[in-house]
Amino acid sequence: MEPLVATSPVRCSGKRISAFYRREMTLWWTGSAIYTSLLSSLAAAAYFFVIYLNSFQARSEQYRAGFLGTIAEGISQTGELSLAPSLREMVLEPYFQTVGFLLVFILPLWSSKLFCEERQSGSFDALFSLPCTVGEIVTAKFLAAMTNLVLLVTILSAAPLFLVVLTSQPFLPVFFGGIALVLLSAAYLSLGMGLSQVCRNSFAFALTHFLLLMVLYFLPALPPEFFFGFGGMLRTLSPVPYTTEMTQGFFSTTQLAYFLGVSAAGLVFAVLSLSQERYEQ
Amino acid sequence: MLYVEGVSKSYSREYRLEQSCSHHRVALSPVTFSLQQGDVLGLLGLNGAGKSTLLKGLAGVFPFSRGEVECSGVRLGKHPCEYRARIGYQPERVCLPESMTVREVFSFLSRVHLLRDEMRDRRFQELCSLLSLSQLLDVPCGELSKGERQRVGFFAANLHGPALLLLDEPMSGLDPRQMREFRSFIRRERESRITVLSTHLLGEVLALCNKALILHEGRVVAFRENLGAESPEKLEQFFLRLAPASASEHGIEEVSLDEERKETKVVQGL
Repeated sequence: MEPLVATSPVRCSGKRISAFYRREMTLWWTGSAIYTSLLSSLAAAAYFFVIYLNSFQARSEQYRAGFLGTIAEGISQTGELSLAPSLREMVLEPYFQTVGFLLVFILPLWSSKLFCEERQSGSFDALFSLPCTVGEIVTAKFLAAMTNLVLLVTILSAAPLFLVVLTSQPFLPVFFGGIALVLLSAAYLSLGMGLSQVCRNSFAFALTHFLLLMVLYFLPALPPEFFFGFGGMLRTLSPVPYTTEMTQGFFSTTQLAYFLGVSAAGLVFAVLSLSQERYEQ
Repeated sequence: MLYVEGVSKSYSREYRLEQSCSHHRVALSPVTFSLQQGDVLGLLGLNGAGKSTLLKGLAGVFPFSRGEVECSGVRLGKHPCEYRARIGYQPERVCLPESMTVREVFSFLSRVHLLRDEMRDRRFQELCSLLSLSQLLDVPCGELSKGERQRVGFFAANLHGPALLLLDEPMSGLDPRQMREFRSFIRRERESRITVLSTHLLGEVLALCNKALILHEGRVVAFRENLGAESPEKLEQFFLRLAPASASEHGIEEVSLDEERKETKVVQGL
């Protein structure tokens, strides 16, 4: 019989990742999870954006009215007389930080969809019999989820971007805010993928992932002297300070190294745990 | 050629958790056999005999604890991806993504197997007409009946023209007409490949297979060649003689304890 395989499969890892990527994207967009999370996060983000914007407007009106109290307050806080409320400080920074917190709720649901549903439906057997490696499957799943997350972040960044364009403010804080959210999503998602071996049940997995992200989120609240002085070190494990710096317009290689390191560690752990699962079947 | 050399499967970790001792639960004792192109091997055994474990291992779903498999000159242990590109596997329970249509599933599989476009289209049309799947192509997999799922799983296993076709209970859920289509398909394509078929239907083994491997409690108890000369009754008796202990539990023979002993004696006396 004439062979049907076009080229050596071993050398075509990219094509196989692309095939799995398309499959994942089809599964994402034919399910309800993505629409639900897009709509709910959009609604929540819009709510907070309006709150921050109203607060900024109220403060601007106060400033324009020239209340002495406001001036006095400004002097006492900053030591300077430039008291005009800042759009970046009052709207953009808190908005991006709030969206970062929303990701703590969205990402566990997304990452549970990646492996737990596949495991529960029993389709891993069929996937493992295909000519591909575990690394290719994990990479494709990660890339597909990240594509959707970039889309989500782009949609959520639309309102701040529109505001910046309308008010002729610098574009950079919005750009860095968006980048910070994408990097934060990648780190959260890969941590979830690395955890995939811990819980088979999708609800238990989502809860475990959520708790881990909450712990990471609130680590900066630890006092430095906590647990024989380890508090300061534990605080550096949290992504929040790095995200905050980026939303303020500061970008450094330390932040990039942190996010890429966490993402890579999560993905490597996901590959190892899935390979182990395959061995134990 | 397919060479299976001393493959075995044991689960050490699970057993340690349950028993806290160093023993292993052996799912498959060392199995050795070889098959040539054109061979159709029937895997027989009671439920839990190790048929599905052997098929999953041959499909590369998990690595065997020991032993090696070689298909068309490619070793599973050394080149797993290249090996799996040469096999087609239909699991016992065909699991398909519920929200994807049958056409999307086939497109995905043809991309993973790196099929050329023109060959994919030709194979696609050929298989669709042979397996009467044209009407199902745009149906979401979640809406398929059990028999339809089996046919889609069989199609998926055959899509890339594998050198080794592994089928785990492929006829469960098929109606008589679909079973006839399945048999004619296996006969039509048998010369171009090696087929390993796990089933409880002894008649099907006689109709399709030229060799049979009987497993019992993870061990090979018989390997028969030239099955064409056997009668169904003789094969059934042979099978029951080799795996008599729990035959009644698995619905092969509805007999009481006394009758079972008598039946066992009769079979052993053959």
